[in-house]
Amino acid sequence: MRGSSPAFWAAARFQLGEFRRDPGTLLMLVTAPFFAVILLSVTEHGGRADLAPYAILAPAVMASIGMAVMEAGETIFRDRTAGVLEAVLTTPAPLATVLLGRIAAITAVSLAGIAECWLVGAVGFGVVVHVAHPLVFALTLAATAAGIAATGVLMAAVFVVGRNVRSFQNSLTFPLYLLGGAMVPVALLPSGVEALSRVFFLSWATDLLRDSLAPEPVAAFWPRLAAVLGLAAATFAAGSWLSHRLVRRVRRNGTVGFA
Amino acid sequence: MSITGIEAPAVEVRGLVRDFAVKGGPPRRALDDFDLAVAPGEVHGLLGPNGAGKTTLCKILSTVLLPTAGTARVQGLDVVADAKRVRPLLGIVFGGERGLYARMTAAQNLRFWAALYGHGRREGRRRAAELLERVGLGPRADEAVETFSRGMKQRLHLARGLVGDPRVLLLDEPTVGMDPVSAHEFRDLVEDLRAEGRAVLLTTHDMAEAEALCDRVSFIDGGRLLRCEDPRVLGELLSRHERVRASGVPEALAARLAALPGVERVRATGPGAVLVETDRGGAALPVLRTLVEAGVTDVSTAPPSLEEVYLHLIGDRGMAVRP
Ligand SMILES: Nc1ncnc2c1ncn2[C@@H]1O[C@H](COP(=O)(O)OP(=O)(O)OP(=O)(O)O)[C@@H](O)[C@H]1O
Ligand SMILES: [Mg+2]
Repeated sequence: MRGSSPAFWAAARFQLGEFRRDPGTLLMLVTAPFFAVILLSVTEHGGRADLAPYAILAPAVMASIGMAVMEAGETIFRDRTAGVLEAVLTTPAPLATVLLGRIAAITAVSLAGIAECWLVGAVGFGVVVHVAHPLVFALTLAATAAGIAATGVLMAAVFVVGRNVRSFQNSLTFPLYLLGGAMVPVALLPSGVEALSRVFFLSWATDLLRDSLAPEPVAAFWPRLAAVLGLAAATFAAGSWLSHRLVRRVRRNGTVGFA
Repeated sequence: MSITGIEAPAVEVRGLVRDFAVKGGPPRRALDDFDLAVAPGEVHGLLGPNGAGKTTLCKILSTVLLPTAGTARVQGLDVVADAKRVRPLLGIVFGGERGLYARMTAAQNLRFWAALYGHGRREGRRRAAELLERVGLGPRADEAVETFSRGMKQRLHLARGLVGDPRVLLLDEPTVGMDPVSAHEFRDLVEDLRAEGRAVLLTTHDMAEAEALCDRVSFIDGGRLLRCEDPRVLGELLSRHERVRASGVPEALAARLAALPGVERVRATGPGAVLVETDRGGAALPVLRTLVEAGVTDVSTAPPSLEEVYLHLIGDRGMAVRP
């Protein structure tokens, strides 16, 4: 793909600039600590200190995937209203690459939610969550970020088609929280739902993240990491393929811009 | 380059058709069996009224819209089958306010677009700085685009169109919103592009601009090519059909004007206001003289409208407004 890598980095830099120009895009990082306070209050008050890692990870992961999905939609919506989407399609850069650059930047920034929530626990509740398996944690986190970015690309592709899709982007995040095991490990979900969740990389990722915090040895780490990465790659492939298809459809119907 | 070593036409369009679906009705044909050829290094004007199909053609050439039938090639490459290879060859400037990131600075916008054409950071910076100078935006390079006037945005659009160093430029009404000075500078810029051997397809409503800039002019209406002409033909039509507008003209004077040689007709456009249409070069002069001698001072001349030129180009056939 000629010229893909400059396009990726330029898109990422552009998105970082967007955070500065429009801090509203960071809203989820503002709400995540509040969520952490609520959850930690419940676990501490209920005498379940063992659940503190859950209470810290849940809002952080939700902020991350939520930002990716919401901003993916916003990105497409704004680009299309400004007539920029059409201009992007005339350039040699593949749309999926540009989207990936932007969403990768969003995801990188959204990871700050983990530090925020950890600090809420440490400072607000005196609950210092230790990372028992730092390498497992780091590798899983990186794979998770890749998967979240890929999910954002897939969502953005969907938003290329229609202007009405925007209204459901908000409600779409909740099934993702659920299937991703962000709040509740998917093993605790009804079996049908759990089976469905296993094709979503995030369910594997959140399980691994939680395991990496617990002192017990992490079982079957590499296969599980492979599952996260494999499903993340599949998600990106799907997003890339879909963006290709949708762009073609939009070119056929003549509705790239709003004109 | 083709295999024979002769450079392929910059743009070659054959039998191009584009239909748009219309809710609850038959499809609307925006382009109808359209043919066009632009040679390398040629500045080709595409002149037509609103809704003629100019933008539709530009969109098909720039690969964002698929044709319904027919073929379009850029330097010998098909815009549908070879879209990926066509894109690096093209620069596109769509008129108006759209297509720029309003909150980014001019330089940031250009660097972003340079990257989408595959240029690394340093090269992107270099091109952005050079192009901003070239379009006269150097001093405003680091200001947000939303603070720009329309004409300045239009210049930035031009710079954006050039950032990929294209062999073929599609300019869709590039001077919309420019003041006459800028429009004049724009003409110089197009001359430079021609000198650099780039082909330019320029759509416009502005006949004077087309006449001044283009090597050839194609007339489009209702999605069809009417004629492809030397711009001198256009210049001739413009001067031959000059119009005189005046107010405070009594009926008797209007009748006298109508009798002057070379006056095609005198139309009342309001109480005492007339529009005198001529059909011979120099015929406006006696009209002006007669008016001034009769004490009418509210007088102006103007070139004929696009619609009139069309009428003269094609005769009275086929100018019915299309649905
Ligand atoms: N996406 C679309 N859906 C339906 N009809 C369309 C669409 N785009 C263009 N058209 C129609 O196609 C015809 C040609 O439009 P086009 O924009 O190409 O004209 P134009 O020559 O560029 O006009 P202008 O001088 O106003 O820019 C018009 O009748 C227009 O309404
Ligand atoms: Mg147009």
